[in-house]
Amino acid sequence: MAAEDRLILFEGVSKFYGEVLGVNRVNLTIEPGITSLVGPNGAGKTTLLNLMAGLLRPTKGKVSVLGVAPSDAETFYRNIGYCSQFDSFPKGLSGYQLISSVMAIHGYSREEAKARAAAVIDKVRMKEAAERRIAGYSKGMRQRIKLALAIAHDPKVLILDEPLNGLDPMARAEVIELLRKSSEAGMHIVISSHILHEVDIISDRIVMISNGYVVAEGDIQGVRSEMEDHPMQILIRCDRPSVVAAQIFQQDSVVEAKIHADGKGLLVSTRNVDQFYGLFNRIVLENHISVEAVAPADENVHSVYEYLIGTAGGAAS
Amino acid sequence: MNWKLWASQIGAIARLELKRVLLARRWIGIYMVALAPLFLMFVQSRLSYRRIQLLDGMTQTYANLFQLFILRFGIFISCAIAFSQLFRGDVLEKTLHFYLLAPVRREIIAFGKYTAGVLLIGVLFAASTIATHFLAYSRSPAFQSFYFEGPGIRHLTQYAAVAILASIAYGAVFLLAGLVFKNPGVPAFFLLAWESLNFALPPLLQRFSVVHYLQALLPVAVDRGPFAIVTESTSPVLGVPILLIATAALVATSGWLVRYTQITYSAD
Repeated sequence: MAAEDRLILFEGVSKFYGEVLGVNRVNLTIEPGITSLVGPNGAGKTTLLNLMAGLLRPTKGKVSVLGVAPSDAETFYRNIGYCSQFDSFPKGLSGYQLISSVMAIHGYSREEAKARAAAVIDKVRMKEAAERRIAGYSKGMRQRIKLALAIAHDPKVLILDEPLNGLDPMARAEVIELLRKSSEAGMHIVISSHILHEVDIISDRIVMISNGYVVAEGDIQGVRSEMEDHPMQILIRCDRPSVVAAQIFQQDSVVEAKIHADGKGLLVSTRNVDQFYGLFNRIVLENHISVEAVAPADENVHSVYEYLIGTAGGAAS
Repeated sequence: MNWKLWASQIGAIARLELKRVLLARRWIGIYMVALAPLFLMFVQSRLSYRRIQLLDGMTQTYANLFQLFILRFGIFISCAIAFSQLFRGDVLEKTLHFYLLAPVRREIIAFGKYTAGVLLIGVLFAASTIATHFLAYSRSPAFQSFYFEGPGIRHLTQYAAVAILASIAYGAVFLLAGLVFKNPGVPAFFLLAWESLNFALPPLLQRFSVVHYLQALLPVAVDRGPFAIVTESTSPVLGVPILLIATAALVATSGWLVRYTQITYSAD
């Protein structure tokens, strides 16, 4: 199997809607696991997902998923499940009718289509409402049916546009668990979400997008460590923070140290984390300081988002 | 070539479309148009009881009703509404992505939807044609002899075949129109004018209309008025294949266009 047969690839992809920019010069390689697309409204997240799902054609460049181009629809869509942001359904159908009908279009026999619909409806806990018309569903129920439809044919790549929208906390936890299990089973999961703390919990990697450009990609730690303009913050809980604070400024890379109000910790900002940890270890040993905890304070999607994109656009929550 | 898979996918798409169409309120207009000939024939039979006693008179009355109302208005308008909405309606309802995300050739999607349209309009108007024909002759004393000894069954078969063939041909035209034009009403209007004024066109241009080939299949001719340019009709042996080939070309073009369809609901 060639390496590209297990990757989602964007090669110099641009998409323009007339003169309006969707995304520009995107080069991405997405490996198996959970990848989150993060960016403010109008940044180009949905455009990127629609390009990935073959619902849009790039103006320039090439998209392939597991080595297959979207033009080969028969193979391409066997690999892909897409839970789109479009909140509309064919009129007059129940959740069960919709999924079994779409499975029949996939080419499954009527019995197999019905069995798959029943199984996946059970999986998203929609059994009781399955025979009711979708028009009468709540936002959360519609979201579950969309998710069920996306996973009913056991795709290798699951693309989810705001999958947690409209779900109550219980349902969110269930969906996150479902995504985790699928990811552990080797599935590609690409999520676009505004709910940054949940993205932070589940993502293996992030792709940050702003004004149609990918501004950062990789695992959270990797992206954060590459942001040299923003010193990294390290939270230290120890018995004598003032001793630590007094000695760490021998390093030029340390830019700030704030002692906690309770006098049992401090927040350090540094431009060189590795160098800082070396110095900190020495200070602790030499001064016999008792350390309770040391942890990065801004190695999360929210901080990275704020540093790179800012809160303009109101996306962070 | 996986013909078995494609056949099953066409069947699944057609079933889903029919389920949606039969449940949707916006198709009520089509059902009304299909029922209208029955109502008109019923009124006609009440108003001119004497005329329907005469077999020839009734045969001519029915021919006029079929050509002027069922064929040129009912089937044409119903095809314009139903087929042009097969894709356009999905774009407006933002549901086309359910089809485009399935592992199915885009041409198969077009053909599946077209099949649903033909089944609906074809069956509806064939049934309407047959029912109206029976109603027309039901009060005639010659009812039995007309159907069982005379040309009744042959006429009925020819009318029903023309109704189905018209659904097939106009359906393909409006399937394509629905994909090309954002407002298929405009091409529908021009096409209606073209088909209606077909009799007054030069002989060569008359051949570029659906109704030209269908007229040759009808059992009874109607008076086309003083301004008609008389031309030699195309033999059904040639006319039916021409219609079917043109239909296949139009459906194939539609399939080709669906292949390049993108989902940009907000722009549509």
